[in-house]
Amino acid sequence: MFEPENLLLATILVPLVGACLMWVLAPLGDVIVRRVALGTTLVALVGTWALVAKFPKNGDQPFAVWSWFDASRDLNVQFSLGLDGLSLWMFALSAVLMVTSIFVSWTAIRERVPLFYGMLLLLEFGCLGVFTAQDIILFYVFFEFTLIPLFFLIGIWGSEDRQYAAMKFFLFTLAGSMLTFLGLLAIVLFDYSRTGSLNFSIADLTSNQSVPEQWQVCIFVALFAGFAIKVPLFPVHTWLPLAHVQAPTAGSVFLAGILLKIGVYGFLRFSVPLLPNATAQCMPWLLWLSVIGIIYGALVALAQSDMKKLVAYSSVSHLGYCTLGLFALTPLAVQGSALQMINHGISTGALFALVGMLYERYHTREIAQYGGLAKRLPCLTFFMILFTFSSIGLPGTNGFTGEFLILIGMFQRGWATPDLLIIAILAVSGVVLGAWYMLNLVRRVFFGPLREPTGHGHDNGEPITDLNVREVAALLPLAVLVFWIGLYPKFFLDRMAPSLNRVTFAAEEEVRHLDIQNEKQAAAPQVVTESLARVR
Amino acid sequence: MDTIDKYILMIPAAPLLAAILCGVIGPWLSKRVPKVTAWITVAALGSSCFASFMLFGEISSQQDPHAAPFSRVIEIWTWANVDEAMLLAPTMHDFRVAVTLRADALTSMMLCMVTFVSTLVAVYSMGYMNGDRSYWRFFAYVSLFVFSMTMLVSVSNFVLLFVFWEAVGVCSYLLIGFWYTKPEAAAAGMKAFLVNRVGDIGFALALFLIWTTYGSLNFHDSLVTETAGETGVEKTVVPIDSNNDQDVNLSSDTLQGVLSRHPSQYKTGTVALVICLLLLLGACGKSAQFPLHIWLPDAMEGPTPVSALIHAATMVTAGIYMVTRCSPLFMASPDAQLVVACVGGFTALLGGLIALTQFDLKRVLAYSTISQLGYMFLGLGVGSFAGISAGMYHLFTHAFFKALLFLGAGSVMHAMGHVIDMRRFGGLRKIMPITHATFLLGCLALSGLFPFSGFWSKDAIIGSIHEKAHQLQHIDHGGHGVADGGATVTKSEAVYSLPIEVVSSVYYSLYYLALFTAFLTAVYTFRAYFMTFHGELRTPLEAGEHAHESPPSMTAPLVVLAVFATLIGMLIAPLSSFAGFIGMTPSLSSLYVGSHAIEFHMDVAMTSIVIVLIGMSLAAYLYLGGARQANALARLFNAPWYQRMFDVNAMARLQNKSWIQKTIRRAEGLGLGWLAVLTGRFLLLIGLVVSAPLILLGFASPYRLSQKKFFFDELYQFSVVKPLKIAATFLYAIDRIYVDGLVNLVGRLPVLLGSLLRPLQMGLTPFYALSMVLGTLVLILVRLLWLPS
Repeated sequence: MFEPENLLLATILVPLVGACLMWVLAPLGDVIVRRVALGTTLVALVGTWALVAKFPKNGDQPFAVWSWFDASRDLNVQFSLGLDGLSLWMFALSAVLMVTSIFVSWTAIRERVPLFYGMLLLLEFGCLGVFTAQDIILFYVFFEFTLIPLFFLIGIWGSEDRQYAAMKFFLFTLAGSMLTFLGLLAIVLFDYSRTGSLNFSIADLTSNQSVPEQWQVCIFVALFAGFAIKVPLFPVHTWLPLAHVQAPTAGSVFLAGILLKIGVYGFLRFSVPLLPNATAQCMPWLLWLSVIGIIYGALVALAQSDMKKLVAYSSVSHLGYCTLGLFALTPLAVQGSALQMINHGISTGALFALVGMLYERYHTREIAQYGGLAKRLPCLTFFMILFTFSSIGLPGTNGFTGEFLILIGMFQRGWATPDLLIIAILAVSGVVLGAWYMLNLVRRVFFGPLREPTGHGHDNGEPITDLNVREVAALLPLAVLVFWIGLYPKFFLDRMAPSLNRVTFAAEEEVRHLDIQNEKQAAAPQVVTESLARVR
Repeated sequence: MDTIDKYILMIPAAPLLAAILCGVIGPWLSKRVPKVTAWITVAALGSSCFASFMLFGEISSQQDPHAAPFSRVIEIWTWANVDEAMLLAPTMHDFRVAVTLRADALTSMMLCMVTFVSTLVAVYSMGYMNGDRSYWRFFAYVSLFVFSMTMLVSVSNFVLLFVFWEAVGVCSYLLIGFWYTKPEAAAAGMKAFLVNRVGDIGFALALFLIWTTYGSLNFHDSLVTETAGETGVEKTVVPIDSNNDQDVNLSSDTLQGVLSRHPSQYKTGTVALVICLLLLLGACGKSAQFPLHIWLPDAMEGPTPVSALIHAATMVTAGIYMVTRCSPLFMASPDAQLVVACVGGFTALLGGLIALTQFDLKRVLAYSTISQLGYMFLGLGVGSFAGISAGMYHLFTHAFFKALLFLGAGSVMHAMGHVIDMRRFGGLRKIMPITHATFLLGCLALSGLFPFSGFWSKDAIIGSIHEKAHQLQHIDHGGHGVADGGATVTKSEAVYSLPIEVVSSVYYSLYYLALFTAFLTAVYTFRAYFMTFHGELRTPLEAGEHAHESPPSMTAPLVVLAVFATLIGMLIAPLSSFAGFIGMTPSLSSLYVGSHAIEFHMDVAMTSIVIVLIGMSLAAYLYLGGARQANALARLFNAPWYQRMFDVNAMARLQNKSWIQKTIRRAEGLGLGWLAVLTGRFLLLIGLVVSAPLILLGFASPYRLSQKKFFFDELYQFSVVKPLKIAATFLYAIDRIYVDGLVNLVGRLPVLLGSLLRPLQMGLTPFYALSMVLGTLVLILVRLLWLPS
């Protein structure tokens, strides 16, 4: 019963069952619905952490694979789920962040409560599925499935401009993912033309490596379209601030924490291992896009007057670090990038939750309306400063671990390929801008003389109170994770390193070959043989 | 685990425990037992201080001049481990960062200084912070800071050095902004953090470069052994202590640390220079050196004990510590040493010049700190063991007398109702006798008058520069310098990229600059002293009627520090015992062994004593006595004749003089009005041309320059901050209008296409019928014309 594969399936199905329960239990009233939703996520959380506990420390093969209708001969699409080092932590984080999301919506959502929690649970189901799918079609199904609940979450429970935001978010990501789907199908067809059998299993496709070199860049661009919009990378990020600002708090938390990572995860799962040659060829472009995103996102965040927008643009900047590390293709940077995916989920998720808590109290997100709140809300301020520190990558917190590994790895790449050194230096400089806009936010909202927004929030006569137990419970697990990853990242790195190495190995080799080819044009032959010998 | 290990662990553990206790149960506990957090902190820091002294004793007893220098490295846990992370290196290195602590001479010296000063400051704060709303928060932050600082000086790899480098910065941020309701304090905290971050970019890049160059980030060597565990082969890495390396033969699986190599194993040339300059950038941020010095004066917004502890005695010296620790790297690049010396010398001068005209007592001390830190860098930049040990020695003595001066200023501030403007009080020696006496001793030490502690360390620095310049010149002229200069000088000669005579003259000018700064130091120190404690008794309104001496918990640390500030120089003077101790640090020992005996330079000492005495007399002349009380320098520069030189209206007033008017009228009478007008305009033109630079000069008169801190804040504001803010606003506009606009345009394409086709669906049946017929005809035609078979 508690075999890992059964546990995996059960964990994924729990939110789905919960979502159905929402519909069944709706007549019993909102209180029960909320509690059941919370209970469901807690059960899923327990299941997730049981899986984490059982995860082998150095396993590089998918762990706990659960497959269904294996035998269908003509169309070999499998319902195959599995966890490996790539997906383990995102899988676990989804479960953690959903608990936070439910806690922050506890009193904020008063309309159509059962539907809301149903949507949240469906979203969790979709995300858990995305990260565990071992089959391309299944992945794509889950990938698109996550859009639907979020579309409704934004469209129904969002702020003033919610319908435009929901529509834009939906169409934008859908347009990209159509191209991604074409790319994925192309990969399958190339594989078919080589092996003679239709194969949708990601592991098999990766090991077959059947995409010819001349087609790789083309397919890479197709995959890139969907994943880059999802991340979002620099020029295609405009749906993000809008969606974040309009989404309800829980939606923002989960959008920033998990859904954006699906893009990075997609790169890591498909683009890099399936198209290593194209990855190596496009590397400089991707790195430039990432670093532009870092600086651009940070600068635009600096100009924001709306807290949520500021955090949203900071996401653009932080995800720039993720993709930078990923495409630097050095072991340090890739591991840092995979860790930064989790880190950003924790810190930005928490920041959105905190902004939501402020909004619930004062009904405005305008930074200029606040001042000196540290006096009024010391506990909230404490958490805000904590997660700000995490977000700006202060040592001891998770942000530092990820950023440091990414930057040192990127610098190594720059050292090996001097054209890219400037990117490494720019990325390091981005750290100052990141500290600037976040600390500026903290200073303006929480420090200085007390200034509370007028005309909002006070109309029901209730005094503004500090965080209650429920809100602390929403933030505390994230705070623990901040320090855990900050102080002992080895626990997390060890479990994902073998899988990451396996996934990026081919692309790293391709980069080396490219480098050596470039060297060959410049240097004498014996130097090449020497450096080849050094590689081996 | 022997006693040394226990001490090493206990020193940071006690403050950490105190920080957690104060932070977690402080708010709850201090409602019931007031001041309990202060007692927890004092106890923790005291025990940490005790452990430091014990460690110091252990290490000095273990030191043997004939054996390898003593060091002990203990590993607590592995922070991160990435296998085979080195790219394209001859050997694949693992990236492995462990939390390792080390104990050696340099560390134990720093630990003693840090814990001792912080204990005294904690005792002082009990009185100073009394009655503050967030008493517990203050002590939690202070404990956290002491933890970070002790870790900073005892870690054994660059990553952790960077970690705690930033951690002390965070504590500084939190403590500067401790009174967060003051907007200035919040802004100052942020400024300090951001300026430090700029320096940290340099440090981080240096760290990356060290990693790619040397393949390791550890200070110490470590041994890789492969042990077959239950799950297969597992690598374990054991740090090697230099005191027991005789039983470890250096095999291929020894990972060499960055700072424990033979001098010949360091890269030289551009890479070495770049590493050192980047490290220096980091050090400039933390130690408030030009061009990143701007944050320190603003940091005075924090509570005064914090200024004494963090911004005078400990944290700001982290840069000096780091450069000293990395001296093997700096030795590999004499050019970098020259840059260090120049940055230090320039900052020393700059700080001294600005301190001359400030009215805020704490800011005078802050600029003085900047200036003295510049001195230390000057010493480090000499690049001989004498210079490095002199720099460290100055760090050591400076910690005592500058902490003393700050705490004295805090005592004044406490009595004056938090007024710190020296123009608003005076003659305090009568009401604050203990503060006055201790402050005077601190001033004497800071000015560097014989036999106070500052004298010995400052003279060691000036002497070492003089010696260096002399040696370089000597080599230039005959090459005899090799004989008495030792090996280091010969090596330096080979690798300076500038001609040796230029280097020599640079060091000579730095020598004179250091002497001039010594003069400035005496002037501004005694200016502050006379303005505060002499003249007739004046107190501000905020002080009320009850301006009085501070409570014993505040004066006791003052007295202790005053004793140390006075005597510590004599106790371990003249430097050789201190240098001998420091020289037994592994990374410094190769320098120490090669260096000749450190001498006391009588001529330099006499010169500097005379200079200090002149400075003190000038300050006494200008500021002692009733009438000349405040801002005498201002009057010097604001004298009428000086003002008139820059007066724009002088020309205009000249025109109204009667004899000019008469001349003009006479000229008009003669029909030569045009000549008068022409002459007038010509004169006006000449006047403008002549006076334009004078007007500019008036804007930038020496006094104004110094008073406005050479406009560095404004410069950065206009050259960095404003442009970035404008760029941010601009980019946001671009983002909304163009980037998003483009996306929306793409989104409208389908609609556009649809609207092109829409007219076809007009709903008229005849049209549909017609088009059907036409279409059929076209098809038939095509069939007939193109496919006739």
